[in-house]
Amino acid sequence: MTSVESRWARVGALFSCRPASTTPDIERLLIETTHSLQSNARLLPIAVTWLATYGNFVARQRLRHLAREAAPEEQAALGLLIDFAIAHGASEDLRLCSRDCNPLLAPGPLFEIHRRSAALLRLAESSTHDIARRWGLWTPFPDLKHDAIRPVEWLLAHNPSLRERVVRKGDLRCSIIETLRHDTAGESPSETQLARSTGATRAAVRASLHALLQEGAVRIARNPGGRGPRVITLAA
Amino acid sequence: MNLDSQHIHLALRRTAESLGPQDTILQIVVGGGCAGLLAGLLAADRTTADCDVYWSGDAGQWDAIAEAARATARQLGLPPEWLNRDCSIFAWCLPIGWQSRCVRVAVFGSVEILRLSRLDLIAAKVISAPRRPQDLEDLFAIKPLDTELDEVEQHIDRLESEDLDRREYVAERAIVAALRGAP
Repeated sequence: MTSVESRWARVGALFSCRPASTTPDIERLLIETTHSLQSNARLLPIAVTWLATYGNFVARQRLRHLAREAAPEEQAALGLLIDFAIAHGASEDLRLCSRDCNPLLAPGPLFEIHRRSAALLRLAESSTHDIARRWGLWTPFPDLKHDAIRPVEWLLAHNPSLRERVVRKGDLRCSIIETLRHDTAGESPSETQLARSTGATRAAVRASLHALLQEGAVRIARNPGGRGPRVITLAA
Repeated sequence: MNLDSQHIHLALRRTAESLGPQDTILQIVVGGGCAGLLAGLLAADRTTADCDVYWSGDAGQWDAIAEAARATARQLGLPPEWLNRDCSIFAWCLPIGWQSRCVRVAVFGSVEILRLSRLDLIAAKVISAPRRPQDLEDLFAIKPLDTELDEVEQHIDRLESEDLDRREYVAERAIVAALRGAP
């Protein structure tokens, strides 16, 4: 399994480790980051800066759907990540991703390192930013690390598949494509199932599918006679 | 290309080549995580390799270095500001005599690359760790010796005694105590 840091390196973070050999699944990377940052605090400013810079690459509806299934600590950390990024200038559209996330009921430090001593625990609590406190997590407001995020030319040259994400600005079309690509082996048996997989309404999925069909990004197979569910597949 | 210590050398060498010959040797002192990486104190997957530089020289010379670094960034796909002197304003946080303890990393053309010593890196991170949890993690990874922590405490005493706002360095002392193993 490629480390979270290696996957971030693949999408432009200047971690010194070897980048992953393939383009990562951005939404799952963000979910896994909410877990991994507990033991690697450097992931917080990196992820926040990346989101503030490249938030349009995130399939928002898909991330929202994945977050619903995440553990409470991960939900709270994702909410914090999104809010920190927006506070640093990311698009307000990102707030959709954490709409279903809940703050922790029992507040505590975001990072394990602060559990090393009672004094460090007090330090974490006393230096907590209001945004973090709202999510039940203790951490200071991170500074942006633009000097540790590669430019978009590098990002797209090394990850050409990300181009269509940013062209669609992370909207529902993007979530449908990424759901088909990563979660359903390139195919969905029906619009209803696809709506369930993305967590979007069926009407919204239908409208997005219409657009994706015209873009040539998906195929929709009609049953003989035009009745019953329509199978949706990713175009080659 | 990732920026492990080998590639940091490459990026710095390209920058020096792009800068070309100078009338005098220009010294740049690398701090932060990059210094920890170059010293072998920090793991590659826990460090970002942007180069934070302590620069005390002429502003015009820095402008030339920064321009050369941006040219390197374009060649290697690095962030434009991968080499920056933002940390220079925190040089006052370093223990007295830090410049004499710097360790030479390499000389490329007219540019001599130095890094903070282990002690000064520890001291810098103790001061920044209250607002940067990643520096707290770095400190536990470095595992400072008791003798080093003694020197850091003396440094904190000095900063506290010289602080115009009479700020007490409670958080920094708590960090030193935690590094000593205090519960």
